[in-house]
Amino acid sequence: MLCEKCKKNPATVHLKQVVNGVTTEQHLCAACAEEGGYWQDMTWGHNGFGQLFDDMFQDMFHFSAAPEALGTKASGTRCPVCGMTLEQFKQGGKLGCAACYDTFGPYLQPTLKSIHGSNEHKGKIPQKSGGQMMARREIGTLKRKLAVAIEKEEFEEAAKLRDRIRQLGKEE
Amino acid sequence: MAKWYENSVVNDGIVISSRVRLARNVKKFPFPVQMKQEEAEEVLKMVKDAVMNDRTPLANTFLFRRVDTLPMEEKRTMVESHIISPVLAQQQKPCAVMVKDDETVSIMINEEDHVRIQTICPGEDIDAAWDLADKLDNLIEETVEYAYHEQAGFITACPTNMGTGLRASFMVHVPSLEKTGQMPHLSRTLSRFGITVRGIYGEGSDSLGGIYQISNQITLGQSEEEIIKNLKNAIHLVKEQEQKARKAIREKDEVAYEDQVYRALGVLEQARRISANEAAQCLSLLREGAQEGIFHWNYPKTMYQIFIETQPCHMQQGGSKTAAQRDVARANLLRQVFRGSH
Repeated sequence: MLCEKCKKNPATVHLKQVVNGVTTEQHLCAACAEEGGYWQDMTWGHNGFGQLFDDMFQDMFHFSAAPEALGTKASGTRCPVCGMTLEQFKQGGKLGCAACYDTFGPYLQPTLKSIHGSNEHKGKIPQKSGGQMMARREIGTLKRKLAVAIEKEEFEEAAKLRDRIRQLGKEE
Repeated sequence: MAKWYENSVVNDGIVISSRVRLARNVKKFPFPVQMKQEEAEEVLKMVKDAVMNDRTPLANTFLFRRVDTLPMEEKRTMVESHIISPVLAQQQKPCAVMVKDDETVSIMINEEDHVRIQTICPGEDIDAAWDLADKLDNLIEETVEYAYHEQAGFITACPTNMGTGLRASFMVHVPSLEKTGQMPHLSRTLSRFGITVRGIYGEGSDSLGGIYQISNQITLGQSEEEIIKNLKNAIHLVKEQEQKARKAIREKDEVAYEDQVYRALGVLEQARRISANEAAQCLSLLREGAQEGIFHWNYPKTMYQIFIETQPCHMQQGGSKTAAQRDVARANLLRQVFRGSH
């Protein structure tokens, strides 16, 4: 495919923007993309975000990793609690407060997956605010054990697990 | 109170020390990057009161130090000793550290995150370091509510710490892996298992005297126990490789190996002017030589203690000195340790 703009070089940059639900696509060569300023907007490494992470992470932030998320509407996102903007977050690479986790969710989730291979916490739960979370996590673990027990036809064990799941469900 | 690095265990093995760091933030407060002066003061007081209060016996063993008002020289000295991080040393907003008398614990307030709990144990004992950090974490949580999300875990300023907020690391002395040029390869291998190799002073720092930090990169999607288990597996590999490299070097030319160690001893006993880098190299050779049974380490201090005490900012104490003056002072200090006199 040739670049839509210069119609000379092969298109290596594929832009997909979703603005107010309308999807537009552009296929450009690297030179035209840079000229149009898209490269700066979209390459993590150029705007400072990527510098945050060790070199080993650099290649995880692929150009095409989150094009939809980088539409013009989203670039004005601002955290309602601490006032941090998406641009500031991308520049500094640090969240401004706990609410930023939800505000910048569409950008953060793929990043977390790239860094950690997961975006789901499996570690410590705080004692104070974590009572229900602990019960929910235990139910999840017991359900997995229950499935294994049923598959192995260990029905006595399965019954015990089922009772424990019910009990935890009531407590919750 | 004797410091952790004065313990002879620090001299004995490839692993110098085991460290755990937990990153936490206080609920309903902006993170340090966004917080106002008065908010920073409030968080500082909350966290201080959670640890140093009448209800816990800890208060007597901790020293509270306001960091933002300290002279830069003093902050750098604390960075060299790993009591505070370079980020805290640079923090302009109200910030502080609570240090345990033996320096096994330091709790930084308003670093990149509101709370950074750091525990260090001499030698290879990451379980003890984790256990202590976990207890301190619970203690703070008795009075301070943390920013926590069911899916993301502990919310940290940087996405690289999200989840457990746990960075577990071993400080290792691997001079033979360095000499034989194997560190880049080892580093690449370990990175495939989510393990990072860094220089002695963390991210972006160089190695000095064959000392490196090996730590977990992944903080989300694994439990603390899994992270630590993974790191233990990595350290097992590192130790095995270092031992192999030492054996190979010795077998190739035993006399050359011994010669290097005794030459290093000669420099430390006799030099009149020595840079931090050369001192670190000599100390490294001596530590390795003692472990290999070439000679008996019969000095009042451990290698790591001398290593820290001869770092530039430590040498600066007691009045400002030029680099050349520091090199003379360093040589004096080393002669005192290794010959018992000037």
